[in-house]
This record gives sequence, structure tokens and C-alpha cells, in this order.
Amino acid sequence: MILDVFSLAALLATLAALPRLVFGPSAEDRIIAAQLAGTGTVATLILLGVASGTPALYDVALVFAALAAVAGLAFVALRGGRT
Amino acid sequence: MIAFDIVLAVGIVFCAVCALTRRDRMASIAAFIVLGLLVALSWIRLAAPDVALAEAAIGAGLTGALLLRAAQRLGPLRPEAGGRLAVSTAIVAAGLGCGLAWVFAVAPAPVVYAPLVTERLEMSGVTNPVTAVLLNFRAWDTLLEIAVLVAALLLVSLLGGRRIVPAHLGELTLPFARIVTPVAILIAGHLLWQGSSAPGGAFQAGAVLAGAMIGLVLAGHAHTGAAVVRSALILGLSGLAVFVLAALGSEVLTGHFLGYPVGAEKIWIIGIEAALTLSIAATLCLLFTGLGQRKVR
Amino acid sequence: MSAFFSILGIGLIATGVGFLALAALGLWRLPDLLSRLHVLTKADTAGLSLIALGAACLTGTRAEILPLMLCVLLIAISGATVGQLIARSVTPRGGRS
Repeated sequence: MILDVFSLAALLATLAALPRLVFGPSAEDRIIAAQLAGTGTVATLILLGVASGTPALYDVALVFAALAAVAGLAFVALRGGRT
Repeated sequence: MIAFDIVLAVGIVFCAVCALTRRDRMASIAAFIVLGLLVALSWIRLAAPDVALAEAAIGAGLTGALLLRAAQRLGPLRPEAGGRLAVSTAIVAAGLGCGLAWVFAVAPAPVVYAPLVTERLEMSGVTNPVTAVLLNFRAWDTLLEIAVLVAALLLVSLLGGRRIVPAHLGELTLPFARIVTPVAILIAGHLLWQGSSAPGGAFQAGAVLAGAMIGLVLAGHAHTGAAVVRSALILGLSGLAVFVLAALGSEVLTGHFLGYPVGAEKIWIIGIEAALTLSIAATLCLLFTGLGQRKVR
Repeated sequence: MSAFFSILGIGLIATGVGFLALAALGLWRLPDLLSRLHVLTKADTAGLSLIALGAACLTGTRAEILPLMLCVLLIAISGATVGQLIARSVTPRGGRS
């Protein structure tokens, strides 16, 4: 089924953020990589939901989407904002 | 889909190794955040959407923020630290893992629980088997878990420490505060209500609510004064109080501890869960912000 | 009708996944932090909204389309907010001071 292939591709795109996350070089790079992985996870969940015909997965995607910014906000706020 | 599962498992192990071995706090924290995302996906693949929801809410909202705050308190990693500590921790963890594997291999595994739950599901008042177990058949366990959460809150309040005063991030965070937070509150209500018939429930709803509130605090749009912290503490403790009162009330009404009156089970469950949602959200939020009186950055 | 929608949905999803892959590639290859910030918005807005539109074409009922659209809205706002905040925190005199 082609949707399974798409969900695998979305998972691979999610994991492709990992080299930047591991090797940095800066802390901001790592947070951007984590943010991108979060978006990729939401996409993977949506595709899994379509592929398996279980819209219940959209709720999990929705929870991820609602809280996607919290880690990034914590990063910027705790290091002082520096405006 | 076997390829999907293999890639997912490799990604999880890779993230775990990175989180443990990188000599840079930010790299470890970011790897741990992504580990949470992938583990939530794996719970989906294991057909456990309730656990996936909890992992999503905790992993996406709370863990990252808590770890970043701890890293800020601890400062940068000292290069020479932790060699012998790491070895002894690894030995203890390996021993624990071997013990668990041994118990898992040796223990007789009669799968009696699932059919029992399915058989008596209509007696519970709800149609989601997970909620039926958590809030009816084994409500005693959930009561003790809430007591554990209260104990954690009291320990944090005894430790004192510093209350968080985040930087003011300004107008850029207004769209977040005006759109994302209200939608997150709606999602929490949705999860709470549908917990009786589909994946969801008090813990997931409370964690989503806590994540949204922590976002507001971090963006500088929420008061964190002493009066607010005191109200949140009372709200956090109220969940256990409501649960214990409900248990005593059901004892008086039906003669069974946490045995709800026949026909009214769903109202009791939803009522307890609503109180627990607010209490869990307040508790998790306070665990992040701290209760101390001193305002130190 | 339904065949048209399923082909449209598959096409939209393929394009969206392509955007995601492009974003991952950009994160890998682009030279500095501010250029790498760009890829975040590409994946967040173009990639995810195309995937969600495709999924909406394939599933159908209104109750299932609402969470998909909310996902797109939330991720777009979150990505834009975090991207702007990080950019402002690393730019010495950028934006308001």
C-alpha cells in the first residue's frame, strides 16, 4: 500500500534531523532539529492514521501539535531571551 | 510495515544512546525530546493509543521544559566529572535490566485480565476498557498514584528553592498565547470527556493542560505571584481530597470502598476525573515552576 | 468523484512528504544557523499542510477533518513563534531591543 510507504518516508524525514541534533554545533541548531522532528512526528502520525484507517491517531497528533512550542519556548525563555 | 517498525526501533535506540553518551547537556536534552516523540510512535504501533497520548503530552510538553530548567540550574558539564559514577550506574542499570528480563522469562503469564475486563465492561459504566480499569475495577491503584503525585509536590515544596521568573518574550508570543493555549484547553476537555469511550482520560488531559500553562508562564503571559502559587497548591492537593471523599462517599452509599452506585457509575467517574485533571495540571505546573519564595533567576 | 479525490489526496501527500524530506536535507546541508532556521517554516507550513489536506481528501467525514486542520494551525503558529524567538535571540541588534 502506497500510504505505508509515505509514512515510512515521513519517519525517515523525521530521523534525518538527528545528525544536526547530535553534531550541533550550537545549542540553537539542536533545538531547531528537535522542533523539526516534532513536525515530522505529527506528519507521520497523520499518515499512519490515514494508512490504517484509525482517525483516533489524529488526537495524538493534535496533542503533539498543541505542545510543539513548549520546549522551544523553554529554551529561549530560560536562557534570558536576549532581546 | 515491518520496515517502519525496524527503522523506528533503530531510531529509538540511537536517540537513547545519544541522550546518554553526548558530553553536552543540550545535545542530551534534544535527543531525549526526540526519543519521547519516537516512543509515542512506537506505542501507536503497539496498538496502545492511551499510553501514546500520555507519552505525547508528557514528552512534548513537560519533559523538555523540566530538563532545560534543570540544565540551567546545573550549568555546563564539567569535562572530568562522572567516569566512575557512569560505570557504577551502568552496572546497576544492567543488573536491574537482567533481573526484569529474568522475571519476565520465568513468571508464568496467564493472560486472564483482558477477557475479565471485556466480560464485565458494561458493569463499569464506561466503554473504554482502560478507563474502566483505572477508575472502576482498580480505582484503588489510581488513588495511590495520585497520592504519589501529591507526595512529589510536597517534597518539592519542602525543598523550597527558587521560583522561576522567565524572561519576558514580548509580542512575538501573542499568537501562541491567544490561539494555541485556548485550543490546548479545548483539547484537554475533549480528552477528558472522550476518555469514557475512547483513548483519553484525566492524566492525558491534565498533562496537556499543564503543558499549555507552562507555555504561558514561559512566554511571560501568566502571573506567578505568591497568591497564584498558593491557589495552585490548593488545587493540586484537591484532587486527592476529592478522590478520598468519593471513596468514603461510595463506602457510605454502597458499602464498598470505591464501589460506585449502580447506574450512576459514569457520572462518578467523570466527576472524579474532572477534579483529577485540574489537580494533575496544577501539580505538574508547580513541579516545573517551583514553589519557593525567593525570586532568583 | 471518490477516485478523483483519492488521486488528489495521494498527490498532495506525496508533495508534502517531499517538502519534509527537502527540509531535512536543508537542515543537513545549509551552512549557518540563520539559513537553517528557514527549513523549519518550510516543513511546518508547506509540508504539514499539504499532508493534512491530502489526508482530509482521503478520509472524508467532517469530524476527522477538524483535528487535521487544527494540527496545521497549531504547528504553523508554534514553528513560526519558536523560529522568530531563536532568530531574535542570536541576532545581536536585530528586531526591537
